Amino acid sequence: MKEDIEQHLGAIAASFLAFKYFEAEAAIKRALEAGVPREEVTKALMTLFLDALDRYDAGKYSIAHLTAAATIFETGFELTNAEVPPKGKVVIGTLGSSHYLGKDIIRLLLMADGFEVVDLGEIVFPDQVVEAVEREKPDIVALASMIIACLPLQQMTIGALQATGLKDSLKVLIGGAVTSERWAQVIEADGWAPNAPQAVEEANRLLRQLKEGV
Amino acid sequence: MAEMTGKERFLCNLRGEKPDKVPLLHWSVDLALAQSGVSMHQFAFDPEKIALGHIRYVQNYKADVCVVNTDLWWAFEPFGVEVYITDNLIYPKKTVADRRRPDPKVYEELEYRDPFSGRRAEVLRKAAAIVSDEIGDKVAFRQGGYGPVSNLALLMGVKEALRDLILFPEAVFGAIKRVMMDWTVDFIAGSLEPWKDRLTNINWGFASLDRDLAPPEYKEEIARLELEALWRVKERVGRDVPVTTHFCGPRPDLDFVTHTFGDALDELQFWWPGSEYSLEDAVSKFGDRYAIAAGIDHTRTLLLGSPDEVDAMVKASMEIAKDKCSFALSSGCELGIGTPEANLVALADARDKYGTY
Repeated sequence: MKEDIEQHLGAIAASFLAFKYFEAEAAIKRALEAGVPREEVTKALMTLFLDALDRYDAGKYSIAHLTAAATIFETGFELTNAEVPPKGKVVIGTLGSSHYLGKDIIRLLLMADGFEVVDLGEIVFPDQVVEAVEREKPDIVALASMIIACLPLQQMTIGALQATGLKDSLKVLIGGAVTSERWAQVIEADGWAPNAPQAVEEANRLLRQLKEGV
Repeated sequence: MAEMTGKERFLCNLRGEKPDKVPLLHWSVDLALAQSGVSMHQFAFDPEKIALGHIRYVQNYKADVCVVNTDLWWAFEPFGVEVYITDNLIYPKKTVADRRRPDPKVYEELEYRDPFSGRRAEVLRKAAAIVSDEIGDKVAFRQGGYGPVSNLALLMGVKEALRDLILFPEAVFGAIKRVMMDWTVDFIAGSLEPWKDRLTNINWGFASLDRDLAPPEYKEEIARLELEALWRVKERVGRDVPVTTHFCGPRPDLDFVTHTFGDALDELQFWWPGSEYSLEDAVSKFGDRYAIAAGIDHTRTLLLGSPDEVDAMVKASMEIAKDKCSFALSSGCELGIGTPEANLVALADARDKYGTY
Protein backbone atom coordinates (compact mmCIF):
# COMPACT_ATOMS: atom_id res chain seq x y z
CA MET A 1 0.00 0.00 0.00
CA LYS A 2 2.85 2.37 0.85
CA GLU A 3 4.20 2.08 -2.69
CA ASP A 4 0.73 2.67 -4.09
CA ILE A 5 0.37 5.80 -1.97
CA GLU A 6 3.71 7.10 -3.14
CA GLN A 7 2.80 6.37 -6.74
CA HIS A 8 -0.49 8.26 -6.43
CA LEU A 9 1.12 11.19 -4.65
CA GLY A 10 3.86 11.22 -7.27
CA ALA A 11 1.25 11.44 -10.04
CA ILE A 12 -0.45 14.34 -8.24
CA ALA A 13 2.89 16.13 -7.84
CA ALA A 14 3.88 15.60 -11.47
CA SER A 15 0.66 17.11 -12.83
CA PHE A 16 0.68 19.90 -10.21
CA LEU A 17 4.22 20.94 -11.07
CA ALA A 18 3.48 20.82 -14.81
CA PHE A 19 0.36 22.98 -14.21
CA LYS A 20 -1.89 20.37 -15.81
CA TYR A 21 -5.13 21.27 -14.10
CA PHE A 22 -7.41 18.53 -15.39
CA GLU A 23 -4.73 15.86 -15.00
CA ALA A 24 -4.08 16.97 -11.42
CA GLU A 25 -7.77 16.84 -10.64
CA ALA A 26 -8.03 13.32 -12.11
CA ALA A 27 -4.93 12.17 -10.21
CA ILE A 28 -6.38 13.41 -6.90
CA LYS A 29 -9.69 11.66 -7.58
CA ARG A 30 -7.89 8.43 -8.50
CA ALA A 31 -5.81 8.59 -5.31
CA LEU A 32 -8.88 9.07 -3.12
CA GLU A 33 -10.78 6.28 -4.92
CA ALA A 34 -7.78 3.98 -4.40
CA GLY A 35 -7.96 4.59 -0.65
CA VAL A 36 -5.08 6.99 -0.18
CA PRO A 37 -5.89 8.73 3.16
CA ARG A 38 -7.37 12.19 2.68
CA GLU A 39 -4.87 13.65 5.13
CA GLU A 40 -1.99 12.32 3.00
CA VAL A 41 -3.37 13.95 -0.14
CA THR A 42 -4.00 17.22 1.72
CA LYS A 43 -0.49 17.19 3.13
CA ALA A 44 0.99 16.58 -0.32
CA LEU A 45 -1.04 19.43 -1.80
CA MET A 46 0.05 21.80 0.98
CA THR A 47 3.68 20.87 0.39
CA LEU A 48 3.30 21.52 -3.34
CA PHE A 49 1.61 24.87 -2.76
CA LEU A 50 4.19 25.98 -0.21
CA ASP A 51 6.88 24.91 -2.67
CA ALA A 52 5.24 27.12 -5.31
CA LEU A 53 5.41 30.02 -2.85
CA ASP A 54 9.10 29.36 -2.24
CA ARG A 55 9.67 29.42 -5.99
CA TYR A 56 7.80 32.71 -6.16
CA ASP A 57 9.93 34.15 -3.36
CA ALA A 58 13.04 32.98 -5.21
CA GLY A 59 11.89 34.75 -8.38
CA LYS A 60 11.37 31.53 -10.32
CA TYR A 61 7.57 31.86 -10.41
CA SER A 62 5.42 34.89 -11.17
CA ILE A 63 2.02 35.69 -9.71
CA ALA A 64 0.55 33.95 -12.75
CA HIS A 65 2.22 30.68 -11.67
CA LEU A 66 1.06 31.24 -8.13
CA THR A 67 -2.56 31.69 -9.14
CA ALA A 68 -2.43 28.53 -11.25
CA ALA A 69 -0.90 26.62 -8.32
CA ALA A 70 -3.51 28.09 -5.96
CA THR A 71 -6.34 26.92 -8.22
CA ILE A 72 -5.03 23.36 -8.36
CA PHE A 73 -4.41 23.40 -4.59
CA GLU A 74 -7.91 24.64 -3.86
CA THR A 75 -9.56 22.13 -6.18
CA GLY A 76 -7.63 19.34 -4.51
CA PHE A 77 -8.33 20.69 -1.01
CA GLU A 78 -12.05 20.60 -1.73
CA LEU A 79 -11.88 17.10 -3.16
CA THR A 80 -10.10 15.75 -0.10
CA ASN A 81 -12.57 17.45 2.25
CA ALA A 82 -10.11 16.73 5.06
CA GLU A 83 -11.10 17.60 8.60
CA VAL A 84 -8.27 19.39 10.39
CA PRO A 85 -8.98 21.09 13.77
CA PRO A 86 -8.42 24.80 13.10
CA LYS A 87 -5.97 26.84 15.20
CA GLY A 88 -8.12 29.95 14.80
CA LYS A 89 -10.81 31.52 12.67
CA VAL A 90 -10.33 34.33 10.18
CA VAL A 91 -12.95 36.35 8.31
CA ILE A 92 -11.36 37.81 5.18
CA GLY A 93 -12.50 40.06 2.36
CA THR A 94 -11.48 42.67 -0.20
CA LEU A 95 -13.11 45.99 0.59
CA GLY A 96 -14.84 47.93 -2.16
CA SER A 97 -13.15 46.57 -5.25
CA SER A 98 -13.03 43.33 -7.18
CA HIS A 99 -9.33 42.69 -6.59
CA TYR A 100 -8.86 39.34 -4.96
CA LEU A 101 -5.53 38.01 -6.10
CA GLY A 102 -3.61 38.91 -2.94
CA LYS A 103 -6.56 38.18 -0.68
CA ASP A 104 -7.01 34.72 -2.20
CA ILE A 105 -3.36 33.83 -1.81
CA ILE A 106 -3.50 34.86 1.84
CA ARG A 107 -6.70 32.88 2.31
CA LEU A 108 -5.07 29.74 0.91
CA LEU A 109 -1.92 30.26 2.95
CA LEU A 110 -3.96 30.70 6.11
CA MET A 111 -5.87 27.52 5.30
CA ALA A 112 -2.61 25.70 4.67
CA ASP A 113 -1.32 27.03 7.99
CA GLY A 114 -4.28 25.57 9.85
CA PHE A 115 -6.71 28.49 10.10
CA GLU A 116 -10.39 28.17 9.33
CA VAL A 117 -11.10 30.93 6.84
CA VAL A 118 -14.46 32.48 6.02
CA ASP A 119 -14.10 34.34 2.73
CA LEU A 120 -16.54 37.20 2.27
CA GLY A 121 -15.28 37.66 -1.27
CA GLU A 122 -14.79 41.00 -2.97
CA ILE A 123 -16.60 44.36 -3.15
CA VAL A 124 -17.25 43.95 0.55
CA PHE A 125 -18.52 46.87 2.62
CA PRO A 126 -18.27 47.56 6.37
CA ASP A 127 -21.80 46.43 7.27
CA GLN A 128 -21.16 43.06 5.62
CA VAL A 129 -18.04 42.60 7.76
CA VAL A 130 -20.00 43.48 10.92
CA GLU A 131 -22.71 40.95 10.00
CA ALA A 132 -20.09 38.28 9.31
CA VAL A 133 -18.35 38.94 12.62
CA GLU A 134 -21.65 38.63 14.51
CA ARG A 135 -22.38 35.38 12.68
CA GLU A 136 -18.94 33.75 12.58
CA LYS A 137 -17.30 35.07 15.76
CA PRO A 138 -13.79 35.04 14.27
CA ASP A 139 -10.49 35.59 16.07
CA ILE A 140 -9.17 37.76 13.27
CA VAL A 141 -10.74 40.00 10.61
CA ALA A 142 -8.44 40.43 7.61
CA LEU A 143 -9.27 43.37 5.36
CA ALA A 144 -7.64 43.98 1.99
CA SER A 145 -7.80 47.31 0.17
CA MET A 146 -6.16 47.05 -3.21
CA ILE A 147 -6.88 50.45 -4.70
CA ILE A 148 -6.58 53.82 -3.13
CA ALA A 149 -10.28 54.62 -3.49
CA CYS A 150 -11.04 51.76 -1.11
CA LEU A 151 -8.66 52.73 1.70
CA PRO A 152 -11.32 54.64 3.67
CA LEU A 153 -13.39 51.44 3.85
CA GLN A 154 -10.78 49.87 6.13
CA GLN A 155 -11.11 52.78 8.53
CA MET A 156 -14.91 52.67 8.31
CA THR A 157 -14.94 48.92 9.00
CA ILE A 158 -12.76 49.25 12.10
CA GLY A 159 -14.96 52.13 13.26
CA ALA A 160 -18.08 50.00 12.79
CA LEU A 161 -16.53 47.10 14.72
CA GLN A 162 -15.56 49.48 17.52
CA ALA A 163 -18.99 51.13 17.59
CA THR A 164 -20.73 47.77 17.94
CA GLY A 165 -18.32 46.52 20.61
CA LEU A 166 -17.28 43.61 18.38
CA LYS A 167 -13.72 44.85 18.09
CA ASP A 168 -13.01 43.95 21.75
CA SER A 169 -13.02 40.22 21.06
CA LEU A 170 -10.97 40.09 17.87
CA LYS A 171 -7.92 41.46 16.07
CA VAL A 172 -7.98 43.34 12.78
CA LEU A 173 -5.27 42.69 10.22
CA ILE A 174 -5.05 44.93 7.16
CA GLY A 175 -3.12 44.71 3.92
CA GLY A 176 -3.11 45.54 0.22
CA ALA A 177 -0.89 47.32 -2.24
CA VAL A 178 -1.89 50.83 -1.18
CA THR A 179 -1.74 50.24 2.58
CA SER A 180 1.18 50.95 4.88
CA GLU A 181 2.24 50.54 8.50
CA ARG A 182 1.53 54.21 8.95
CA TRP A 183 -1.99 53.81 7.61
CA ALA A 184 -2.53 50.84 9.96
CA GLN A 185 -1.56 53.04 12.90
CA VAL A 186 -3.80 55.87 11.74
CA ILE A 187 -6.89 53.64 11.56
CA GLU A 188 -6.01 51.63 14.71
CA ALA A 189 -5.64 48.26 13.00
CA ASP A 190 -3.93 45.61 15.16
CA GLY A 191 -1.67 44.37 12.42
CA TRP A 192 -0.43 45.10 8.92
CA ALA A 193 1.44 42.96 6.44
CA PRO A 194 3.11 43.99 3.18
CA ASN A 195 2.83 40.55 1.56
CA ALA A 196 1.15 37.15 1.84
CA PRO A 197 3.75 35.22 3.86
CA GLN A 198 4.03 38.06 6.36
CA ALA A 199 0.25 38.20 6.59
CA VAL A 200 0.30 34.61 7.84
CA GLU A 201 3.04 35.45 10.36
CA GLU A 202 1.05 38.48 11.47
CA ALA A 203 -2.14 36.40 11.82
CA ASN A 204 -0.29 33.98 14.07
CA ARG A 205 1.11 36.85 16.15
CA LEU A 206 -2.34 38.39 16.54
CA LEU A 207 -3.84 35.02 17.48
CA ARG A 208 -1.19 34.60 20.18
CA GLN A 209 -1.94 38.11 21.47
CA LEU A 210 -5.64 37.37 21.54
CA LYS A 211 -5.13 34.13 23.48
CA GLU A 212 -2.79 35.89 25.91
CA GLY A 213 -5.35 38.64 26.37
CA VAL A 214 -3.08 41.35 25.02
CA MET B 1 10.59 83.42 -18.39
CA ALA B 2 6.93 84.15 -19.05
CA GLU B 3 4.54 81.73 -17.43
CA MET B 4 3.61 78.86 -19.74
CA THR B 5 0.28 77.10 -19.93
CA GLY B 6 0.24 73.55 -18.62
CA LYS B 7 0.13 72.27 -22.17
CA GLU B 8 3.14 74.33 -23.26
CA ARG B 9 5.05 73.27 -20.15
CA PHE B 10 4.28 69.61 -20.67
CA LEU B 11 5.22 69.58 -24.37
CA CYS B 12 8.33 71.71 -23.83
CA ASN B 13 9.54 69.23 -21.20
CA LEU B 14 8.90 66.25 -23.48
CA ARG B 15 10.93 67.92 -26.25
CA GLY B 16 13.90 67.98 -23.89
CA GLU B 17 13.78 71.77 -23.50
CA LYS B 18 13.46 73.68 -20.24
CA PRO B 19 9.95 74.94 -19.50
CA ASP B 20 9.21 77.75 -17.02
CA LYS B 21 8.85 75.14 -14.30
CA VAL B 22 8.65 71.40 -13.82
CA PRO B 23 5.29 70.06 -15.06
CA LEU B 24 2.91 68.80 -12.38
CA LEU B 25 1.06 65.65 -13.44
CA HIS B 26 -1.67 64.01 -11.44
CA TRP B 27 -5.28 63.03 -11.98
CA SER B 28 -8.11 61.34 -10.14
CA VAL B 29 -11.59 60.13 -10.99
CA ASP B 30 -12.45 60.19 -7.28
CA LEU B 31 -11.49 63.82 -6.79
CA ALA B 32 -13.01 64.87 -10.13
CA LEU B 33 -16.19 63.18 -8.97
CA ALA B 34 -16.03 65.17 -5.73
CA GLN B 35 -15.51 68.37 -7.73
CA SER B 36 -18.60 67.63 -9.82
CA GLY B 37 -20.87 67.71 -6.76
CA VAL B 38 -22.87 64.63 -7.75
CA SER B 39 -22.76 60.94 -6.83
CA MET B 40 -21.11 58.32 -9.02
CA HIS B 41 -24.57 57.12 -10.04
CA GLN B 42 -25.15 60.45 -11.80
CA PHE B 43 -21.54 61.15 -12.75
CA ALA B 44 -21.15 57.92 -14.72
CA PHE B 45 -24.01 58.78 -17.07
CA ASP B 46 -23.72 62.55 -17.38
CA PRO B 47 -21.03 63.86 -19.78
CA GLU B 48 -21.41 67.42 -18.55
CA LYS B 49 -20.81 66.43 -14.92
CA ILE B 50 -17.81 64.31 -15.90
CA ALA B 51 -16.41 67.26 -17.85
CA LEU B 52 -17.16 69.74 -15.06
CA GLY B 53 -15.44 67.59 -12.42
CA HIS B 54 -12.31 67.13 -14.50
CA ILE B 55 -12.12 70.81 -15.49
CA ARG B 56 -12.48 71.95 -11.87
CA TYR B 57 -9.88 69.38 -10.84
CA VAL B 58 -7.12 70.72 -13.11
CA GLN B 59 -8.03 74.32 -12.33
CA ASN B 60 -8.18 73.93 -8.54
CA TYR B 61 -5.15 71.70 -8.14
CA LYS B 62 -3.02 73.25 -10.90
CA ALA B 63 -2.40 69.95 -12.68
CA ASP B 64 -0.77 70.37 -16.08
CA VAL B 65 -2.40 67.27 -17.52
CA CYS B 66 -6.00 66.15 -17.79
CA VAL B 67 -7.10 62.51 -17.98
CA VAL B 68 -10.85 62.10 -18.43
CA ASN B 69 -12.45 58.88 -17.27
CA THR B 70 -14.92 57.31 -14.88
CA ASP B 71 -13.65 53.72 -14.64
CA LEU B 72 -12.00 50.90 -16.58
CA TRP B 73 -15.08 48.94 -17.45
CA TRP B 74 -17.31 50.88 -19.82
CA ALA B 75 -15.59 49.59 -22.95
CA PHE B 76 -16.09 46.00 -21.81
CA GLU B 77 -19.87 46.33 -21.53
CA PRO B 78 -20.37 45.07 -25.12
CA PHE B 79 -18.84 41.75 -24.00
CA GLY B 80 -21.63 41.45 -21.43
CA VAL B 81 -19.65 42.82 -18.47
CA GLU B 82 -22.14 44.39 -16.04
CA VAL B 83 -20.98 46.90 -13.48
CA TYR B 84 -21.81 47.61 -9.90
CA ILE B 85 -21.99 51.35 -9.11
CA THR B 86 -21.54 52.56 -5.53
CA ASP B 87 -21.31 56.14 -4.30
CA ASN B 88 -17.73 56.42 -5.54
CA LEU B 89 -16.82 53.19 -7.31
CA ILE B 90 -17.63 51.31 -10.49
CA TYR B 91 -16.72 47.64 -10.58
CA PRO B 92 -17.75 44.58 -12.60
CA LYS B 93 -20.27 42.25 -11.00
CA LYS B 94 -18.51 39.10 -12.14
CA THR B 95 -15.67 38.03 -14.34
CA VAL B 96 -16.16 36.29 -17.68
CA ALA B 97 -13.85 33.38 -16.82
CA ASP B 98 -14.98 31.14 -13.98
CA ARG B 99 -13.15 31.82 -10.75
CA ARG B 100 -13.16 28.31 -9.38
CA ARG B 101 -12.99 26.10 -12.44
CA PRO B 102 -10.67 27.04 -15.32
CA ASP B 103 -11.97 26.40 -18.82
CA PRO B 104 -10.08 27.07 -22.09
CA LYS B 105 -13.38 27.35 -23.99
CA VAL B 106 -14.06 30.88 -22.72
CA TYR B 107 -10.97 31.99 -24.65
CA GLU B 108 -11.61 29.82 -27.70
CA GLU B 109 -15.18 31.08 -28.02
CA LEU B 110 -14.46 34.77 -27.40
CA GLU B 111 -15.74 37.02 -30.19
CA TYR B 112 -14.95 40.62 -31.09
CA ARG B 113 -17.29 43.34 -29.82
CA ASP B 114 -17.20 47.01 -30.76
CA PRO B 115 -15.79 48.82 -27.66
CA PHE B 116 -18.00 51.83 -28.38
CA SER B 117 -21.31 49.99 -28.66
CA GLY B 118 -22.00 50.02 -24.90
CA ARG B 119 -24.35 52.53 -23.27
CA ARG B 120 -21.61 54.49 -21.46
CA ALA B 121 -19.12 54.81 -24.33
CA GLU B 122 -20.87 57.79 -25.86
CA VAL B 123 -21.04 59.47 -22.44
CA LEU B 124 -17.25 59.32 -22.10
CA ARG B 125 -16.64 60.52 -25.65
CA LYS B 126 -18.96 63.46 -25.15
CA ALA B 127 -17.29 64.34 -21.84
CA ALA B 128 -13.87 64.28 -23.49
CA ALA B 129 -15.10 66.51 -26.31
CA ILE B 130 -16.50 69.06 -23.81
CA VAL B 131 -13.25 69.16 -21.82
CA SER B 132 -11.25 69.44 -25.03
CA ASP B 133 -13.32 72.41 -26.21
CA GLU B 134 -13.27 74.15 -22.81
CA ILE B 135 -9.64 73.86 -21.74
CA GLY B 136 -7.94 72.21 -24.69
CA ASP B 137 -5.51 75.07 -25.20
CA LYS B 138 -4.49 75.30 -21.57
CA VAL B 139 -3.57 71.83 -20.34
CA ALA B 140 -2.10 68.68 -21.82
CA PHE B 141 -4.47 65.83 -22.61
CA ARG B 142 -3.48 62.33 -21.90
CA GLN B 143 -5.60 59.45 -23.04
CA GLY B 144 -4.82 55.82 -23.58
CA GLY B 145 -5.24 52.48 -21.98
CA TYR B 146 -3.76 49.06 -21.59
CA GLY B 147 -2.41 46.71 -24.23
CA PRO B 148 -4.18 43.60 -25.52
CA VAL B 149 -2.85 41.25 -22.83
CA SER B 150 -4.03 43.46 -19.99
CA ASN B 151 -7.34 44.06 -21.72
CA LEU B 152 -7.98 40.33 -21.95
CA ALA B 153 -7.16 40.12 -18.23
CA LEU B 154 -9.59 42.93 -17.42
CA LEU B 155 -12.29 41.19 -19.44
CA MET B 156 -11.74 37.68 -18.11
CA GLY B 157 -10.70 38.64 -14.58
CA VAL B 158 -7.08 39.43 -13.81
CA LYS B 159 -6.49 36.44 -11.60
CA GLU B 160 -8.29 34.09 -13.99
CA ALA B 161 -6.34 35.33 -17.01
CA LEU B 162 -3.02 35.05 -15.16
CA ARG B 163 -3.93 31.55 -14.01
CA ASP B 164 -5.11 30.49 -17.45
CA LEU B 165 -2.01 31.90 -19.12
CA ILE B 166 -0.14 29.19 -17.24
CA LEU B 167 -2.77 26.46 -17.56
CA PHE B 168 -3.86 27.06 -21.18
CA PRO B 169 -1.33 29.37 -22.85
CA GLU B 170 -2.41 28.50 -26.41
CA ALA B 171 -6.05 29.37 -25.73
CA VAL B 172 -5.13 32.63 -23.99
CA PHE B 173 -2.67 33.84 -26.62
CA GLY B 174 -5.13 32.72 -29.31
CA ALA B 175 -7.82 35.01 -27.86
CA ILE B 176 -5.39 37.90 -27.61
CA LYS B 177 -4.32 37.60 -31.25
CA ARG B 178 -7.76 36.78 -32.64
CA VAL B 179 -9.87 39.29 -30.67
CA MET B 180 -8.11 41.56 -28.20
CA MET B 181 -5.45 42.94 -30.54
CA ASP B 182 -8.00 44.53 -32.89
CA TRP B 183 -10.23 45.46 -29.95
CA THR B 184 -7.37 47.26 -28.18
CA VAL B 185 -6.39 49.23 -31.26
CA ASP B 186 -10.02 50.18 -31.93
CA PHE B 187 -10.60 51.07 -28.28
CA ILE B 188 -7.54 53.26 -27.76
CA ALA B 189 -7.63 54.91 -31.19
CA GLY B 190 -11.36 55.56 -30.73
CA SER B 191 -10.79 57.02 -27.25
CA LEU B 192 -8.31 59.49 -28.70
CA GLU B 193 -10.68 60.79 -31.39
CA PRO B 194 -12.70 63.26 -29.26
CA TRP B 195 -9.51 65.19 -28.45
CA LYS B 196 -8.82 65.79 -32.15
CA ASP B 197 -5.62 67.79 -32.64
CA ARG B 198 -5.63 68.83 -28.96
CA LEU B 199 -4.46 65.38 -27.91
CA THR B 200 -0.98 65.78 -26.51
CA ASN B 201 -0.12 62.44 -25.02
CA ILE B 202 -0.89 58.73 -25.32
CA ASN B 203 -0.70 56.87 -22.06
CA TRP B 204 0.19 53.18 -22.29
CA GLY B 205 -0.46 50.94 -19.29
CA PHE B 206 2.22 48.36 -18.57
CA ALA B 207 0.47 46.36 -15.88
CA SER B 208 1.11 43.14 -17.80
CA LEU B 209 4.87 43.72 -17.59
CA ASP B 210 5.12 44.38 -13.87
CA ARG B 211 7.99 42.26 -12.58
CA ASP B 212 5.74 40.14 -10.36
CA LEU B 213 2.84 39.50 -12.68
CA ALA B 214 4.28 38.40 -15.99
CA PRO B 215 5.51 34.82 -16.34
CA PRO B 216 9.15 35.10 -17.46
CA GLU B 217 8.68 32.46 -20.15
CA TYR B 218 5.97 34.59 -21.83
CA LYS B 219 7.35 38.05 -21.21
CA GLU B 220 8.88 38.50 -24.67
CA GLU B 221 5.69 37.36 -26.36
CA ILE B 222 3.56 39.67 -24.19
CA ALA B 223 5.86 42.61 -24.98
CA ARG B 224 5.78 41.81 -28.70
CA LEU B 225 1.96 41.90 -28.69
CA GLU B 226 1.82 45.10 -26.64
CA LEU B 227 4.30 46.80 -28.95
CA GLU B 228 2.42 45.71 -32.05
CA ALA B 229 -0.76 47.24 -30.64
CA LEU B 230 1.04 50.47 -29.74
CA TRP B 231 2.47 50.89 -33.24
CA ARG B 232 -0.93 50.20 -34.77
CA VAL B 233 -2.50 52.86 -32.52
CA LYS B 234 0.20 55.35 -33.53
CA GLU B 235 -0.47 54.57 -37.17
CA ARG B 236 -4.18 55.16 -36.70
CA VAL B 237 -3.55 58.49 -34.95
CA GLY B 238 -1.50 59.49 -37.96
CA ARG B 239 0.87 61.91 -36.25
CA ASP B 240 3.66 61.66 -33.73
CA VAL B 241 1.91 61.96 -30.38
CA PRO B 242 4.29 61.35 -27.44
CA VAL B 243 3.78 58.13 -25.49
CA THR B 244 4.05 57.92 -21.71
CA THR B 245 4.24 54.69 -19.73
CA HIS B 246 1.88 54.01 -16.88
CA PHE B 247 3.34 51.76 -14.20
CA CYS B 248 1.23 51.75 -11.07
CA GLY B 249 2.61 48.51 -9.62
CA PRO B 250 5.23 48.25 -6.90
CA ARG B 251 7.77 46.40 -9.08
CA PRO B 252 7.95 48.17 -12.45
CA ASP B 253 10.31 46.48 -14.88
CA LEU B 254 11.68 49.66 -16.41
CA ASP B 255 14.80 47.94 -17.72
CA PHE B 256 12.87 45.36 -19.71
CA VAL B 257 10.31 47.85 -21.03
CA THR B 258 12.85 50.45 -22.15
CA HIS B 259 14.95 47.73 -23.78
CA THR B 260 11.94 46.23 -25.57
CA PHE B 261 9.94 49.33 -26.47
CA GLY B 262 12.88 51.64 -27.24
CA ASP B 263 11.89 54.59 -29.41
CA ALA B 264 8.18 53.83 -29.18
CA LEU B 265 8.22 55.60 -25.79
CA ASP B 266 8.90 59.24 -24.90
CA GLU B 267 8.31 59.46 -21.16
CA LEU B 268 8.65 56.99 -18.28
CA GLN B 269 6.02 57.57 -15.65
CA PHE B 270 6.19 55.24 -12.67
CA TRP B 271 5.33 55.10 -8.99
CA TRP B 272 8.09 56.53 -6.81
CA PRO B 273 8.35 56.98 -3.85
CA GLY B 274 6.39 53.77 -3.35
CA SER B 275 7.81 51.27 -5.79
CA GLU B 276 11.12 49.45 -5.63
CA TYR B 277 12.58 51.28 -8.65
CA SER B 278 14.31 54.38 -7.34
CA LEU B 279 14.10 57.73 -9.05
CA GLU B 280 17.91 58.02 -8.86
CA ASP B 281 18.30 54.79 -10.85
CA ALA B 282 15.68 55.78 -13.41
CA VAL B 283 17.31 59.18 -13.94
CA SER B 284 20.83 57.80 -14.25
CA LYS B 285 19.87 54.91 -16.53
CA PHE B 286 17.22 56.49 -18.73
CA GLY B 287 17.32 60.25 -18.19
CA ASP B 288 19.30 60.84 -21.37
CA ARG B 289 16.74 58.99 -23.53
CA TYR B 290 13.37 59.64 -21.95
CA ALA B 291 11.55 62.24 -19.91
CA ILE B 292 10.98 60.93 -16.39
CA ALA B 293 7.72 61.46 -14.49
CA ALA B 294 7.61 60.47 -10.83
CA GLY B 295 8.21 61.95 -7.38
CA ILE B 296 4.78 61.96 -5.73
CA ASP B 297 3.77 59.14 -3.39
CA HIS B 298 0.01 59.30 -3.73
CA THR B 299 -0.63 56.46 -1.27
CA ARG B 300 1.33 57.65 1.74
CA THR B 301 2.75 61.16 1.87
CA LEU B 302 0.09 62.88 -0.22
CA LEU B 303 -2.78 60.94 1.30
CA LEU B 304 -1.67 60.62 4.91
CA GLY B 305 1.10 63.16 5.43
CA SER B 306 1.06 66.81 6.42
CA PRO B 307 1.61 69.76 4.04
CA ASP B 308 5.17 70.00 5.43
CA GLU B 309 5.81 66.38 4.53
CA VAL B 310 4.45 67.00 1.03
CA ASP B 311 6.80 69.96 0.71
CA ALA B 312 9.74 67.79 1.80
CA MET B 313 8.78 65.02 -0.64
CA VAL B 314 8.67 67.45 -3.56
CA LYS B 315 11.96 69.04 -2.52
CA ALA B 316 13.65 65.63 -2.36
CA SER B 317 12.29 64.57 -5.75
CA MET B 318 13.38 67.84 -7.37
CA GLU B 319 16.88 67.48 -5.92
CA ILE B 320 17.19 64.04 -7.46
CA ALA B 321 15.81 64.72 -10.91
CA LYS B 322 15.11 68.35 -11.78
CA ASP B 323 18.36 69.35 -13.43
CA LYS B 324 19.43 65.91 -14.55
CA CYS B 325 16.73 65.04 -17.06
CA SER B 326 13.44 66.25 -18.50
CA PHE B 327 11.56 65.80 -15.28
CA ALA B 328 7.87 66.02 -14.49
CA LEU B 329 6.57 65.80 -10.94
CA SER B 330 4.02 63.00 -11.19
CA SER B 331 1.97 60.61 -9.12
CA GLY B 332 2.26 56.91 -9.87
CA CYS B 333 -1.45 56.53 -10.36
CA GLU B 334 -4.73 58.24 -9.56
CA LEU B 335 -4.96 60.22 -6.36
CA GLY B 336 -7.27 58.70 -3.80
CA ILE B 337 -10.49 59.91 -2.31
CA GLY B 338 -9.72 61.63 0.97
CA THR B 339 -6.47 63.20 -0.24
CA PRO B 340 -6.43 66.36 1.89
CA GLU B 341 -7.09 69.62 0.07
CA ALA B 342 -4.25 71.21 2.06
CA ASN B 343 -1.82 68.62 0.69
CA LEU B 344 -2.90 69.30 -2.88
CA VAL B 345 -2.34 73.00 -2.32
CA ALA B 346 1.05 72.22 -0.72
CA LEU B 347 1.93 70.06 -3.73
CA ALA B 348 1.29 72.86 -6.23
CA ASP B 349 3.08 75.39 -4.00
CA ALA B 350 6.10 73.12 -3.59
CA ARG B 351 6.30 72.57 -7.34
CA ASP B 352 6.45 76.37 -7.79
CA LYS B 353 8.93 76.74 -4.92
CA TYR B 354 11.43 74.04 -5.95
CA GLY B 355 10.55 73.42 -9.58
CA THR B 356 10.99 76.81 -11.24
CA TYR B 357 13.81 77.02 -13.79
